[in-house]
Amino acid sequence: MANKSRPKKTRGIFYKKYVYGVTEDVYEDSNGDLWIKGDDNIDHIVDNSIKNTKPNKDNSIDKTAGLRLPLEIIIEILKLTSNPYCTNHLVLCRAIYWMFLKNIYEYPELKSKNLESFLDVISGDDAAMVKEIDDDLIINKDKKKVNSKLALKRKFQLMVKCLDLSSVVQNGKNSYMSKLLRRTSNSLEIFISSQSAFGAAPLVSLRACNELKILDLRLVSESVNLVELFKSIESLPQLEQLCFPRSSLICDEYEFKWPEKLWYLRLQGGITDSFAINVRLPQTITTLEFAHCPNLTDEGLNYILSNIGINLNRLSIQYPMPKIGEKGADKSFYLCPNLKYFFIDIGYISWELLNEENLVFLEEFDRPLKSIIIESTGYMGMCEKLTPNDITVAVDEGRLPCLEKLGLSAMLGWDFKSDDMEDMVSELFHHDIQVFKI
Amino acid sequence: MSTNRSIVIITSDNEKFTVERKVAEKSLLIKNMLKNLLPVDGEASDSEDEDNDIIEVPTQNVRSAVMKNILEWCEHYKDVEFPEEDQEDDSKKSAPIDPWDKNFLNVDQEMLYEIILAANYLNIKPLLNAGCKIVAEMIRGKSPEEIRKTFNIVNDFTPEEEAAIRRENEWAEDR
Repeated sequence: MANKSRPKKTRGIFYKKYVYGVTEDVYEDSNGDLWIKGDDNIDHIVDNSIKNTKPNKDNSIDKTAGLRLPLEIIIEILKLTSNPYCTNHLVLCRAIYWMFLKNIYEYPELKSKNLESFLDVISGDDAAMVKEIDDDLIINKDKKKVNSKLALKRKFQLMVKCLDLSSVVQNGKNSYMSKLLRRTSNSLEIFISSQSAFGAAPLVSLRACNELKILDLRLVSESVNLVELFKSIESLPQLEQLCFPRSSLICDEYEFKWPEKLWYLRLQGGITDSFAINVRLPQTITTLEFAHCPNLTDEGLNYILSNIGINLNRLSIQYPMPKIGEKGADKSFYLCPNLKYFFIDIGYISWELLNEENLVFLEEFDRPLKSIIIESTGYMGMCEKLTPNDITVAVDEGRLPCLEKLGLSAMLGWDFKSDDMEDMVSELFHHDIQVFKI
Repeated sequence: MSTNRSIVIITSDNEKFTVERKVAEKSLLIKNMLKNLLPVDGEASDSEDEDNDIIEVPTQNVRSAVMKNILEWCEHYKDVEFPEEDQEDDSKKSAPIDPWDKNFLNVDQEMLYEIILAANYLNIKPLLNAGCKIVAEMIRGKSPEEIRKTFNIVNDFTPEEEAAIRRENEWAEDR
């Protein structure tokens, strides 16, 4: 039971001290002193320190201080400085603070050093309780009035669009990743993982990121469970680009619901022939990349290409793909007739890539291939697999009618001053094709 | 021909400046106004003595001393074609200030602000950009209080709020 005989609590003046804005309880007397109406009907005079902290609500300016630039021009000027979103600019006034917040938090620059403090801020622990001008209640996304203190704590959670953690080295614990994803899940569109862990907890948190468009896990060093990853991806309807982790467990489940908007896929890690044959990759994919697939053979590669190759306009097969063999990617042009950009390592192709069987004439339209980049890791004996003459003949016979660029790795082992090379460059120049060394 | 035609610009204090059309057209505001009144190819106007008509353009927000400076800038750049607004990229914005502009804008702060405001009103993007860059250089390394004074901004934060913002933004400074 309540103790009715205990003395009534009275609130001290200091409770009024940090309240934002001028309340109706504050009034000014004829001497210019501010008074606060007390609960006990005794009015308290406001000391000078509080008077000085009173925010200026009417934004009146010193008329004698000369001309004033409009806020939008001041903002433009601040943006022209070397560090536009520095703290010194944020504390200029409330309007500038709120205008610049979005620019700082949409694409935050995160490093190992500041990840933890950033997390504290977006979690609300270190968030500044600074209201917008004349904003007593903040309206949230669903147009419902919410508790303003809570809304201020959560103000960043609808701002963060991109989390690029590629510069965070060995500092992204699973708990950090999970918390980061949870806190930003309402607005996050791009997530690029750090070079560290991405375990079960972040995979679960990922499911709430309904706006996610790009998920790049290529740097993750810990083995990721692909089945769990697929389960998370199923609940990401906006996902357009997906990059698998380079180290992952072998995936033995194949019935997945792929995001409908997915057009970019980078396959890495525990992809096997069995996965390649059984999984139904979506027909929406137009860009496909392979790298770090230690279990995939040429059979699996060709199976994937025979399924979705006709839709591809970009194909990249990068080192290391140890099991696809020396001629594993020779059928790429045959299986992908609509290809425009082809990026390949010399280790996986031979002269047969450009022969009449693989680089066939297309009857209905000219082959649209615009750019070929041939990379090399510098292994000995690769220079004989494909020679400048093979390219010269293919171009001369009109089998690459739309080719515009040919990039050749300096480590191919070709003699760039040889007669064959000069002949190739001259022939390609004749067909208006640029040749460059990379 | 209407391209060589003179335009009379009237300032807020009723002073008149007679300039070539291409000088006046450095202002997109005036250019668009003239486009409707005097098409360059002379299609719209009817009379033979078209050249005798005087086109007066009132600029109520700009006083004569400022307009004099603005027209000096326009005269200097009358033969230079600046890219359209949407073609201007960030690199253009971050380019250093032209030495001539720097010398031209070496005026007192009051006049500099008036030139910026006039360039904004008349829609002369390159001049506005140059003016903004000069002010951006002016505030380099200054404290918040000094910047507020430069822009005549009222500090509407309490000291507690300012301290909270400094604490909040520590992560962004710590890179």
